[in-house]
Amino acid sequence: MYQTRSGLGSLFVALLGVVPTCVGISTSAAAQSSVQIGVAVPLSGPDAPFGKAIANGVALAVKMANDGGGLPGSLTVNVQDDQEKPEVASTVARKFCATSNMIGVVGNLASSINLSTQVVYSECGLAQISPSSSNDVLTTRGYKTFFRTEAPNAFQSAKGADFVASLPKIKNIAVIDTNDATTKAQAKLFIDEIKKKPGLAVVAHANVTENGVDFRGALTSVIAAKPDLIYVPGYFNDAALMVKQSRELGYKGTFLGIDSDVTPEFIGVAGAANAEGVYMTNLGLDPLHTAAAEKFVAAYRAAYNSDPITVASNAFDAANAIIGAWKEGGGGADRAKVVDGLHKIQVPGTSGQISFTSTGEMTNPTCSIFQVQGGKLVYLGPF
Amino acid sequence: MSEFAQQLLNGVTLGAVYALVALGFTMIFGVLELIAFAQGGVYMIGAYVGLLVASRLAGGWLLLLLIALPTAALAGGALNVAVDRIAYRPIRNSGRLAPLISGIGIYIFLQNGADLWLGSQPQPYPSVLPAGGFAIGGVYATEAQLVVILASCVCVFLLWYLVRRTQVGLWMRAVAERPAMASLMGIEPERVIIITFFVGGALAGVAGVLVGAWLGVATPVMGFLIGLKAFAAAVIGGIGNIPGALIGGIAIGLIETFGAGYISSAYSDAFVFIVLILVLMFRPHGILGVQLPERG
Repeated sequence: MYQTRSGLGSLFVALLGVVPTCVGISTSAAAQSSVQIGVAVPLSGPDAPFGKAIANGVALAVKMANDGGGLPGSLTVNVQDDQEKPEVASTVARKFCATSNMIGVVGNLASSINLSTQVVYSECGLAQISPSSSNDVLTTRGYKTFFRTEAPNAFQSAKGADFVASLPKIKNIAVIDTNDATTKAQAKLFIDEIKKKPGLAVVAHANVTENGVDFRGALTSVIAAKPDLIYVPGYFNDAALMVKQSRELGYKGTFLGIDSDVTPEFIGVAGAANAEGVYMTNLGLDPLHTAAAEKFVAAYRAAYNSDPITVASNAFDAANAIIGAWKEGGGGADRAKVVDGLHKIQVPGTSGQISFTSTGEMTNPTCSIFQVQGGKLVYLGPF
Repeated sequence: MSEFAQQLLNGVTLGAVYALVALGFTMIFGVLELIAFAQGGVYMIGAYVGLLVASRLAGGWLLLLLIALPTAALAGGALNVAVDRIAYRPIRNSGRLAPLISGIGIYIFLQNGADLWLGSQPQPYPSVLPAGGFAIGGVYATEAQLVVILASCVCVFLLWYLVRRTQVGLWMRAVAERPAMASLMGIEPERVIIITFFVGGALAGVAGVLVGAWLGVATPVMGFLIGLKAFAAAVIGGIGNIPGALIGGIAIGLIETFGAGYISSAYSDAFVFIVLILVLMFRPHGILGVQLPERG
């Protein structure tokens, strides 16, 4: 059942991908050239809603570019389901590589998937922009073709420390990580940054076992150090349980979580009263509350009858960067020109000007803050 | 001082939780000398059954608890009987290793089944335990904690009563001691085994609801680590011995919380298993256990 469904799903997606291609070829007889932008994201499985939002963002950017005119050719979008599986994502990447008029790809969603596709796109010289992967490692592997419109985790840790320093009456900080590579790295970066701030001190640092166990042993000794704020850079399940159990142990201070906590389920697990006042850093900006994204939000609503989420605006920016680099290069299907162009690009984006460093990182990454207020997640704005 | 008292309470609560799960292990081992690895999976399914039932009902915590507990107990008991029928009974006389591995297989099946059917996302537990809390001299306790400790003691007593003071318990002890002889005395060993698995599964179901509610979430992987630690608790207390499960559970709970609080939280799980190894080296039959006679 499960197999059949995902099989049909990918077939359907493959058909979807073929249709615009055919349209593209038929119109290319009239226009001078037609090129494609690929989208490789999960369209089945639990992350499908994010994949769909990314595909929507790219399609909108391409439609607006085609409608706006002044292009050295016409653009089409080719969406493929990577099923959030490394082997499927690699196959999709090879398919895109083999498509001669493919000029750039937006994807993949998860960092772990990008690890396996980076090498494929690099080998065929095809520009790849991930709108959503934040693992620090991705831009350290030396792939000239890889870019992202998502800020890296390290940036989030540093911004988290800056935010803590800006809060009044917060002096003593405690950190609890869940003993895995990602949260340990984030905790370490955060602690290094906090140590640089005058007046702030890290009074406790605990590492616990992840996955919904009893944290009270570690929490009791952390709370005994009297922290004003506890940093919990873990998966929402663990972070929410730490919040709940700390409150039950009489802790009155506040918490700072990270982007994986920005979900209503965090409040569900922690309990609304316990979660009240908890801060969370989030990568990127909420397009609904960002002036630079106003036009994008209006166009997205008109096209899809729903509100765009952050990855949709990141994907929109990624597609516009590819389109911009392609235009600068004078059109055609020269992939090297697009990659070079992306390293020099300056285009207006939904969170400000979009440009990339030599490693493919955004020059101006963004971070924002959420807070739990009255049992709901409230966007406090960029930080 | 209040930190020490707090850690003591933390440890006893966690220990009561391990004891609840350890009871199932110890009971099945007592009768069959079988390490029923699937117990962790049955515990997880019990937690989900309680969650699904309680989240579809409205009412006070006590009403929800009184509905969720028996439902989860029945589901856990029935599931455990099915596990025995499928995984253990066909290989009843093939040594100890085969059923151990068969049980691990069932555990993996249950965990992945729950992952596919119910999703791998942790689900918040409906409130089937009281929400209040209080502080005495800087030590914070919740009513939920006290319910868990109380429930654990009640389960230990009921199980002890069942095994030591009832007819069924007499059959169980007879089958445990000399299955062939019990059979000659008119006791049907397979029937006793079914009862044992049902009771063991029902205990796991009850533990699933209580622990799920006390922690606040249910996840498909929740049975793995707790299963290992409950098994360690059963061994430390003396496997096969019912009050031993409570003592072993509390010993493990205290080692874990004091280890996390005073030495290093990163190694609190390691302390548990170091103690398990030490017990196996120096007192292999556990704190309350007695040397079992070798079976012919």
